[in-house]
Amino acid sequence: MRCPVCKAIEGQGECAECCALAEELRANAEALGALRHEEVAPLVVRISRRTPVYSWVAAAAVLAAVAVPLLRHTLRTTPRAAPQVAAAPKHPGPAARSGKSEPIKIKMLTPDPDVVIYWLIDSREGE
Amino acid sequence: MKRLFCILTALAGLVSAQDKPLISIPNPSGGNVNLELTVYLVSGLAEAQGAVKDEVPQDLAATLQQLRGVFAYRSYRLIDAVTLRGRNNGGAEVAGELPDYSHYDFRYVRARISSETPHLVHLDSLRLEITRRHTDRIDNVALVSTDLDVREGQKTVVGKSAVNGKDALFLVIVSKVIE
Repeated sequence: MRCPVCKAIEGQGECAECCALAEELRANAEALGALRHEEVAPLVVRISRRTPVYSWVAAAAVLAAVAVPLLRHTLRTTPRAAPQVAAAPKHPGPAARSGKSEPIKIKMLTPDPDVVIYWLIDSREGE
Repeated sequence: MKRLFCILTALAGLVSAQDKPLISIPNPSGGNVNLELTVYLVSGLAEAQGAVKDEVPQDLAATLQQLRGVFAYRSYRLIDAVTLRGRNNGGAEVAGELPDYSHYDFRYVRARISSETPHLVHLDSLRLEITRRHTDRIDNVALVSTDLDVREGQKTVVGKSAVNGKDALFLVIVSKVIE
C-alpha cells in the first residue's frame, strides 16, 4: 500500500520520514485543538493616554490669555519711585553713602502694650 | 490635565484678587477714610546738656518710660511735633524748619488702613529726612526710611542711632483713623 503523500511504500524508506512528519503535524493539530477549550485570563490592555499635541497647544493658549493680563496688571500696579525733589548734595551725606541698602529693623516689645519700638540699624553700622 | 486646570484656576483667582482694592473699609457715608498722623521728633542725647532733665510733653511720658528701659541715653528732648493728614491708599508729606534751623521732610507714599478694629495702618515708604543747609552744600543730618505698621491707639517709636554723633533720633508716631 503506497503512501498518498510520498507515493512510496507506506512506512518504508522515504515514507518513514513522511510518516513521522505527518504524525508530528497531527499531534500539533490535536494540541491546538485542546487549547481551544482552555480558559485564558483576561488580557489587560494598557492604552497609552498621551494627551494629543493640540490639547497642549490649547492649554498654552489659555495660559497665555490668563498670564498676560496678570503681568500687565502687575506692571501697572507697581508703584513708581518717588521723584527726587531735593537737589543732590555736592558732598554725599550718610544716606547717600549708604546707598540703597535697606536698614535692619528690630522690633522691641515693651511691657506697655501701647508702646512699640522699632530700632533701625544701617547695614554699614552692623558691619 | 487636572493639574493644569488647578493652575489655571489659581491664576484666575489671583487676577481676580489683584483687581480688587487692597483695603476696603465699610463706610456708610461712602466717602474716603482719612488718616491723621501725629509725629513727635524726639532726640535722645548721649551727653548731658545742662540739667539732666527730659523735655517732652506729658503725652509721651509712658513712651519715655519705655525708652528709658531699653536705651541708655542721658536725656530726651522733643525737637518738634508735626501733624499730617491723608486719605486711605494715599500719601502725605509735610516739610518745614526745625528750631535749630535744620530742615525736615516727612512723608509716606501710601497709607493702607485695615478694616479690623483697632485699625492697623500700613505706611509704605515712610521717610524722614533732616538736612542742614549751608551756603555751598546740604548736609544730611538724619534719614529714616522704612515701611511701618502702626496700630491705631498705639505709640509706635522708630529710633535710629548715630545722629549728631552719638545721639539718637526717635519718631513717635500716633495714628488716628477718621471715618
